[in-house]
Order: sequence, then structure tokens, then C-alpha cells
Amino acid sequence: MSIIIDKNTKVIVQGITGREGSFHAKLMKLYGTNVVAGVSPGKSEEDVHGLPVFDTVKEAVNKTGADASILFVPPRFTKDAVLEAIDAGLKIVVAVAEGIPFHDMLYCRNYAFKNNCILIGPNTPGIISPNKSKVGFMADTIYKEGSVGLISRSATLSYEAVNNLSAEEIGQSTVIGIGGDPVQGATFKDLLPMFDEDPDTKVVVMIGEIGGSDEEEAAAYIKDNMKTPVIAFIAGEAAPEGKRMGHAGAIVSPGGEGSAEYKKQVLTEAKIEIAEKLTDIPTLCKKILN
Amino acid sequence: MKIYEYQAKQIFADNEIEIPVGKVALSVEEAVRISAELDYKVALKAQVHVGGRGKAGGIKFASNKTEVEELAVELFNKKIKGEIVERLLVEAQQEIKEELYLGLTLNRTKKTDTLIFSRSGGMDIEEVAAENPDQIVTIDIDPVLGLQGFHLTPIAKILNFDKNLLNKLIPIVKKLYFVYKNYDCLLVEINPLAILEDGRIKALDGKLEMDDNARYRQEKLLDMWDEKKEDQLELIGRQEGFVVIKLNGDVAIISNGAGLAISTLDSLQRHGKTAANILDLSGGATAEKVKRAVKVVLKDSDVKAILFNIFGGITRCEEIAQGVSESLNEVPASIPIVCRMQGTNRDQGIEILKCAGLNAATDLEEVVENVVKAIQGGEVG
Repeated sequence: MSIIIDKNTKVIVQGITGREGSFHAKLMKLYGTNVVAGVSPGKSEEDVHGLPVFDTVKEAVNKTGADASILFVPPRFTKDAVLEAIDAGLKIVVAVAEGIPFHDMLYCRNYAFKNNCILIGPNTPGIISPNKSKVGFMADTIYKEGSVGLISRSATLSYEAVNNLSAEEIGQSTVIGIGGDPVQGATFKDLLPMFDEDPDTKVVVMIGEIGGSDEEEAAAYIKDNMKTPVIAFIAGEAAPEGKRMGHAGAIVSPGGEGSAEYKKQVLTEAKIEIAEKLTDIPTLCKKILN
Repeated sequence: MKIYEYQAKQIFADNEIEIPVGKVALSVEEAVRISAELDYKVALKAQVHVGGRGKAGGIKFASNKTEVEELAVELFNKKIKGEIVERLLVEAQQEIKEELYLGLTLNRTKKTDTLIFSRSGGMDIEEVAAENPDQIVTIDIDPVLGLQGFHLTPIAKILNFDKNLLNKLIPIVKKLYFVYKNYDCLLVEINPLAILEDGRIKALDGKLEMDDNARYRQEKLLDMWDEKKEDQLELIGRQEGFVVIKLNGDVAIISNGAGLAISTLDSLQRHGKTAANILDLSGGATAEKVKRAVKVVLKDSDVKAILFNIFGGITRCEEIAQGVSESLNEVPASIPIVCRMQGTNRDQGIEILKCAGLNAATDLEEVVENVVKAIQGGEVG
């Protein structure tokens, strides 16, 4: 099995007439994602890769029964597009854009929660359940179906980890990029219970980084609730205090709050195994899977 | 993005939060001229971005012309925690009865807005939190609800439901919330928010930090931005469309993602080295973009080697390799280039590099070992 998305998930693409939207709609379809329609206001006369295009999300949902949406929409229009998707009743929304003002995201996250919508992102490659469905733009060839669940703040580090796992014939149930922003939709803690309930996920890999306290929140949850073992990796032990390290959310506060060292300490105290290097992840997974 | 105190106060004043009368001086003469209008009873405040200015001696009080001159000279020649002083805010002194603290920021853990109020203003709020936590109220505000009346009850409580005071204070809280939201602030703070002897409440200090992601819709704040206070390499990077981070080592890390770059830096540290800078190409970089990136990092004279760490997803390795090979004649022979390529079209990328006389590592640890060897002048395997 997998979490959040599978072969049956009906997906619409907001911004499908744009360059990225059109390109990735095609790639998602090729992968086997059940893409049912696109949305692009004022462009409903067109069709893109044989998919109908609607002016509004509501129309698309009414005509196709869609469950999920992915947004290939510029940062400044993302808030409106996310709220439109939630308002139309969608329960899975993936926002990939980087550079969304944090006040916009704060609103979207809280609105999504009130409507039981799983919001993924922003600043994410999306979500993939290998061999079933991908709602995102990741290079899908590196993924293999299997029993490792993976959640990552960084896109590139999730590719690294997946590549290392697949090279050792260790497949994945679902891989989710939650994004590198200080405020995002679903966090580690929001997604861990779903993996815990998935009978096919035997181990969860959590790839965190400096900044904020999402890893610490997850550690407390894991300690008290999780039956499935969790392995954690934290990037940024060499990052100096007070510098934003590329991701908007990757910053160690002056005084050391949000440091890799502190996060690892909290995770270790919660009896969560730490992968010191990315290449340690497959070895640790194997130990649990065998 | 940070702005100066006088600029934050200008925003406050524009939104009808009272501030002391004052002006900015760029020279001692100007400071004296402004002081004259205020009868020389002034506060002289160094305008800097670093915190802890008061303790570092960045605020002085004068009562006559000679004092203004002497203190202005002193402040203009001072460095506040390493930051040079180019502007003084010259303000009328205030008769203060009580100092309060008022701030709004993000609660990253709970993912809400947070209003912070304290009766012990004028000092570092972290210190108050540590020493007198009962003096602080912290109120989480759901952004979908926005600031409502009930949110303010804890503030009323700490002020013993003093109606007279609350009637003056509550509008200021609402105005500051408006500023926080409408100017895309990561943080906005008035410390102290002073109750004066005559009963008025004024913002005696102001701090405002804007969300960089909101630049496109905050023209007014962008006009206030002092580019000179940014790291110059980071600024050049931004103008070229890259996120660049200046550090104090000697390797330039060029990568196609922030996470990958951070992990490369971690690995360098395990080998006892650190980066001079980090440049994030982000997804889908073309050869042209790679060439521009190399030019940017070469502007940093600390760079002794360039390390490419690429994991192609939407980024295609052959594009990166093409960019690297076309950059070669612009990179001095004394600066070695080491590469690591993985992911989309890796084999094509490695072939292009080979033609240009460069080897490519397959994993992150290997490329880091290679750069360490290259700097020491050894053979790169």
C-alpha cells in the first residue's frame, strides 16, 4: 500500500496551460498518475495532452470527481489557488512553487487544517507512491516500490536518499517532500501517523534540517505513539548561527535554537536512530527490514 | 530584510502609532542642526541592524549644543558590534513613566502568529522571559481568524483591567497587528512602548524585519532597504538570480538544491574544511546559468577551489557539464574544479566533463575528498 495517493487518486493540474504545468502533466500521466483535468482561468476552450481544461477548480471537480490537485502556479498566485482548491472540497493539495510569502502560507496551512485537507508544500517536488502515482515533478526513474516511507524537507536530499535506497534494492511506499519553508502544509508530525497506519510501510525515514522545531515535535510524537521504527537524518551541522542556508526555513537562531546538534540530541533521547551520513540510511533500513 | 529604527518608526507613524519628534542625521553638523530645533534636549541613537545597541553604547542623551557635538562625533566614530554608524536618529527626549513591550512574530512550532506583550519593556525580551516569565503574555492568533477582541483579554488582565490605559493601548496593538500583516513582517517590535508622564503612549524604539519572499509586493519597504548592509557577494548573487551564502572557508560549493549544498558543507566540515560560499542553482539550470554562477563565485577572493555537487532531477547533468566545460577558460589555473554528478543524464554529463579533462565523482563523500586533495595540491582520483 501507500499513503495519501495511489492509482485511484484522481488528480487535476492547476496552471496546466503554463510551460511547467503542461510539461509535468504529461510526465505524471506517463508515470501512470490518474490525471483527469486541468484548470486555467480563461483557457477552458483548450485541451492539453487530451485532458479537458476548466476555468475553475469547482467545475473540474464537478465534472471529473477529482480528489487531488497539484499547482504549477507562480508564488504570487499560490495562496489564491490553494484556497480555491480547498474551497472546492479537495482533500489533497500539492503546492510546488518556491518563494511564497510566509503570511500567505500561514493562512493556507490553517485553512487547510480546518477543512481536513492535506496540503503538501510549498517549495517541494511533491509526493510519489512508486509504481502507483506521482503528484509532483521528481525524476521518477530512481524510485522503486517497497516498504520504506520517506519524508523530507529538502528535495535534493530526498533524491539522494531514494537513490541510495533503490541502489540497494530497498523500495519505498510513499515519498513526500514537505518543503523547505518555515511554514508549510503537512509537517513530519502530521504525516507520521499515516505511515504508522499503513501496513506496508515497515520503516520511516525522516530527513530534516536546521531551523524551526518540526523535528523535535516529531520526536515527541514518535516516542509516545509510533509503532513503526523511524530513522532520522539532519542536515546542517556545519551551518553557522543566524545565516539562512538557502531554504527560507533553514536557519539556526542566534543562541543555537534549531541547530542540527540540538535536534539530533532530542531525536536520540526519543530513541530514534540517527543516520550521520546519507549513505548510512540504506544500512539502517536493512537492519530493520531483515 | 531588516530596516533601520527610524524607518520602522516612519511606518508606525504612517499607521498612526505615535513616535517622538525627530529626524535622521548623516553628519555631526546635521545632528546639531536638528538638535537646535529640539532645544538640544535630545536622544542620539546610532542606526544599525545589529541587536543590543543600547548595551553597546549606541544611545546617548544630550542637553546642550556642546554635548550634542561631542556625542555625535563619538557615535559616528563608533562601531556597534562591528557595524559602522552612518546615520544618527536625533529625537526629542521623552518623560517616561512606564516602559512596555509589544511585538508580533511567527510561532514556527505552532504555525500561528504570536503577539507578545510585557509590562517590563525597555530590556531584552528574552531576558524578561527567562527571569520574569509571569511578566509576559504570549497570545497565538490563528491567521484565518485574525486579531479579535478576545485575544486581548490576557493583556487587559496583566494591566489589571485599567480602562483608561487599555483605551489608549488596545488601538496601538491593533495598528501594530495591521502593520505586521500588511507589510509582510517576519517580526515587528516596539521596545519600549512608553507610557509618558503626560499619559500619552509612544513607540520609543522600533524593529521591523520583512519576509524576503514578499519583496514583489512591498515596494515601500524595498525603497528603505540599505543594500550596502548586505554581504556584497550575496547581493551580486541575488542580482544574478541565485541564492548565495557567504561563509569563511575556501571552497565554493555550487549545487542544485539547498539541502544538497548544506550536506556538502557538513561533509567538508568532517574533513576539517569549510566553504567560502555556497551557490544554489535551483532546479532546471541551463549551461548559460552555470557559467553565470561560476562568474559569481569567482568574485569571492577567498575561493581556492570550486566544487560542483549535482543531483539531477529536473536539472539535467549534461547541461551542467556543458556550462562547466565552457567556463573552464575563465577559471584561473590555480583554482581547481571538482565535480560530482548523479541523476538525470548523468552519463552524458560525465562524458562532456571527460572531454574537458575533468573527472566526476559519483557520490558526495568522494567529491569532498577530491576537493580536499585538490586544495592540498594532490592528485584528484
